[in-house]
Amino acid sequence: MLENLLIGVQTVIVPINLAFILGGVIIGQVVGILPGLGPVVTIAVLLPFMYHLDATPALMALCGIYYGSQFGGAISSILVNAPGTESAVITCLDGYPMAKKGRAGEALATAAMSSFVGGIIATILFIALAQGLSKLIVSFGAPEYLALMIFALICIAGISEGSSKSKVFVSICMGLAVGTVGMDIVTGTPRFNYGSFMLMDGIDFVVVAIGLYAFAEVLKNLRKKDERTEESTIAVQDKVKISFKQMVKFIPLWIRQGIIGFVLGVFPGIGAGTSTPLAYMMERGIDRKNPNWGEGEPKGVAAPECSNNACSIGALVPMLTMGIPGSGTAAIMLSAMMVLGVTPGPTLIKTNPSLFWGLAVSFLVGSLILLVVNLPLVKYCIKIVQLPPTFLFMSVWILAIVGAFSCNNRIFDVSLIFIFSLLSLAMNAAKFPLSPFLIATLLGDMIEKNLNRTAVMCHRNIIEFVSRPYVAVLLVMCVLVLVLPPIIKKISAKKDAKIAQAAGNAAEQ
Amino acid sequence: MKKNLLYEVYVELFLLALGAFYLGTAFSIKESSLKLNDTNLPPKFYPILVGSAWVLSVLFVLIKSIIKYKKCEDDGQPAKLKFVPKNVLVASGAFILYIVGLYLIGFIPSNILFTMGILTYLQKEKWKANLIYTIIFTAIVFVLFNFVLTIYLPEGLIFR
Repeated sequence: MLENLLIGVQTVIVPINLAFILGGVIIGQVVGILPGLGPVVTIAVLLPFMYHLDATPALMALCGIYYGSQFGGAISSILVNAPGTESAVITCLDGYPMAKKGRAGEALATAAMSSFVGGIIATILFIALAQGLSKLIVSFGAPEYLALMIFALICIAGISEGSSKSKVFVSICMGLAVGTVGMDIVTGTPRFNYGSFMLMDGIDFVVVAIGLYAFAEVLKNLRKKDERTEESTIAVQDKVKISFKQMVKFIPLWIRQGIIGFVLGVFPGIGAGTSTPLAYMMERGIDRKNPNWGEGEPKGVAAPECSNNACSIGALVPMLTMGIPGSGTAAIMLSAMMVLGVTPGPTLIKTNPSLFWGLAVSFLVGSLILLVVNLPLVKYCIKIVQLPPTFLFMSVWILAIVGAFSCNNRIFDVSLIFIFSLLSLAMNAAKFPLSPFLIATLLGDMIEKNLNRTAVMCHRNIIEFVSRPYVAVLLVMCVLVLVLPPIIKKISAKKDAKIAQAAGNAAEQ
Repeated sequence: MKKNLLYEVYVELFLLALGAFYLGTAFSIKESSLKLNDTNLPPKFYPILVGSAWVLSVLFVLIKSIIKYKKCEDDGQPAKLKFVPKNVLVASGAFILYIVGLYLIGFIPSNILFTMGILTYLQKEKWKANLIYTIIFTAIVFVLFNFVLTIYLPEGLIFR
């Protein structure tokens, strides 16, 4: 363990790696502050610049963008009441009221400190868990891998918040379908190319990612002046500082939410969008008598911010140890790893220990940099929101188009982007989620490969497949994921009803 | 509210048609002449699996939406949309022209026309800033890709 950490430290302290971590977290922070621009598009746009780089610094920068954006999201939540990322939505609930009461600095410092602690707790858990998990996964054969991927997809469909499960399922099927375009893996039979030579190789994953996300994000922001809603920014009046006394009070909360956020993040499909409301509700439940909730309670900032950072690092566990993406951002990072010539999966820890442990240590260093940069500079960071977004988003649009072109050096891919853009707008309007689509596109290939191998290994006999011990365990977990959440919801609804009834009775008396 | 639900029904109908088209193509995938062994799955097995799941799940969603639409009372309000429809049309049109431009006249001219066109549509009054931005950004992208990253951007069919 200690020697692994030393390998990591050795990798990180190389100046070029430090520089890339710094660059990554700062870009991530800016992206997080800007409402509308997400890490998926940022990483996709930056990919062409990565081809020439060494894998280790490039991946450190990409991971930095990822957790840096979680960090930055809180700033626009607190000061503008417009969350910069999905994970910072809950931070608005108490962060914005705090800022309105003139405690913006305290809120920002609380958010930064909580993110930092959440990141540290999650990184420690990551280091503790990664090696054991990798060892387990290495023993997996094709049938187990197939079951693992089915489990991942079912998690995504089963636990997703917000959109209905059946819609998530449709998105997953469409993503899998996009993955089948091109040649059959085993026999080389062309499929779904409709006579076109261009589609023989399949559709590049980066093209799908850019198409699904970039156009929609750009369109949200490219508006005429009279169509824009002016948001007022609250100025920071007090000092960006959090007292030592306050920090001591937060320690149990941080430990709780850090661990829970991390564990949730490990499951595919549970992103910060699910973990932050949970963290908020939980802390609110623990501190029920406090009347300040929703009107500027610092705990309401600390809980979601700690949770979302822990969750984002937890999501890197399945990505790095199994090669399975848990979110849209993880999917694009996985494809970036493949572009850089790194094979993600359980063997990574053995074949490239300096990269693996270097990444783990870079999370610590990156979090520290974010904290140091954040506390004094946060007042100036918010100016980014006030700049007119037109030029920035125009640049993103063009870089996205050029980036798609550079995947294979053909204009055909740019037309594919256009098609996927229209599809994403339509799906957006009908509330179909897009990240399951993206994850399924990436997984589709691997699922089919392992399905074919499984068929051969188990002689096309389903009983032989199911009776493998790990497969059986994973399939039982699939059933649990599908069955448990509705039951829990029902039980908690009953409990709520009972409490409400009791309260009603008490009021009558 | 009702208008929004109608949108959902339309999109789901479209996705159903797309899924049916996919499934139809999946059934018509030829058997491979390459016979490896008996337990190998035929090339169309997995696409048919995915296609069927797609069609069935969209059907399920569609039926749910139609029932919801029928039940929903019309409140006479226009649909709430995340995007301004006119902007979507303008941007899509410009996008198509841009792609055609890449084929015909290459990156530099089509990028200048595209950027300038969109910016003029959005903020005509800032034409000076628009022009400066267009020229500088096009130059930066061109130099960066062609010379630093050695990814050669399209030259077009006409100006070679």
